[in-house]
Amino acid sequence: MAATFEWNEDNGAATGSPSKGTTRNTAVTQMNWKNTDDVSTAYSSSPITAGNNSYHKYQFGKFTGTFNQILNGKWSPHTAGTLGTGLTLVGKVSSTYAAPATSALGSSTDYTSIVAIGSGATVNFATSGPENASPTATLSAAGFTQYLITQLQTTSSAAAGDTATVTGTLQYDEN
Amino acid sequence: MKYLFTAQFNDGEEYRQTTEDKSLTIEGKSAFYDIKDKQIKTFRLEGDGHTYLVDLTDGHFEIDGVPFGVNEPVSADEPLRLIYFRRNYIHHAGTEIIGTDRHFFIGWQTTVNGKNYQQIIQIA
Repeated sequence: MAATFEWNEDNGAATGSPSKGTTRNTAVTQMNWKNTDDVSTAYSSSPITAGNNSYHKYQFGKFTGTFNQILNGKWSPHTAGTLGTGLTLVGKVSSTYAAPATSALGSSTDYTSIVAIGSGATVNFATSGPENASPTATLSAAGFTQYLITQLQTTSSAAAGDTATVTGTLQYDEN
Repeated sequence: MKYLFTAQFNDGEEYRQTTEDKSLTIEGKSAFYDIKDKQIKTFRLEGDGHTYLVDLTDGHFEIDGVPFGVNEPVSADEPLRLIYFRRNYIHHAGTEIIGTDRHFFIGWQTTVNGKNYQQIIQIA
């Protein structure tokens, strides 16, 4: 039935070598920026105060099933939808894990405006995990994307309540 | 899988992908693994009432039996090699994966004057 995809997310302190999250959550179905580092807390229970940033979110893709190769990974965390005043969405692709925090995500790209998937960031793959320091452009057995890290940054001008929904897209080829 | 492929080899034999999409030779591999290094004459996708074909003997394409070319013919330095992949789009927003799209690509590549040259069509 071809490759099977699911989102995963790492949370907690960095552990191991190479570093990864203390908690690895599988089959993650949501991407909500909030003022805590986990997948279970509802964002409404841990809202971001205007003028502050969300915790970094370290999500990544996991591939299982049958395939010859997976390749040509691309990612844009903002392919549709409009963010309101005072909101900035940043993101980056990386194999380096650090304990999520609310400090500004370093070396990130501004995705506040829509970035079409064709212009998205290159994503590589590894069989051992997103933390593998030497990911490759193709995946020939079950494995993972690199970390796809995002953060929602706010100013005091950000309106209270839910933000507008924005769509992100991960693209990959398989055969 | 919206479209399943059938590869016809130079000896006339055919290999048909099934909905299971599993290699007949290697655990964990897809059907494409079984044919990717073979000498293929034609490769076609069938589904949704349509057929899309690429002919690796002369590089032409067909949709429902109607032949056409993507660009002008070229003088290849070597035989045409099959290009086939599915491009997957995972769209996610807020509390859910909101949808997935998959487009199919078939075509060929070769070397022309020492440089890689490709012709590919995309089927949504």
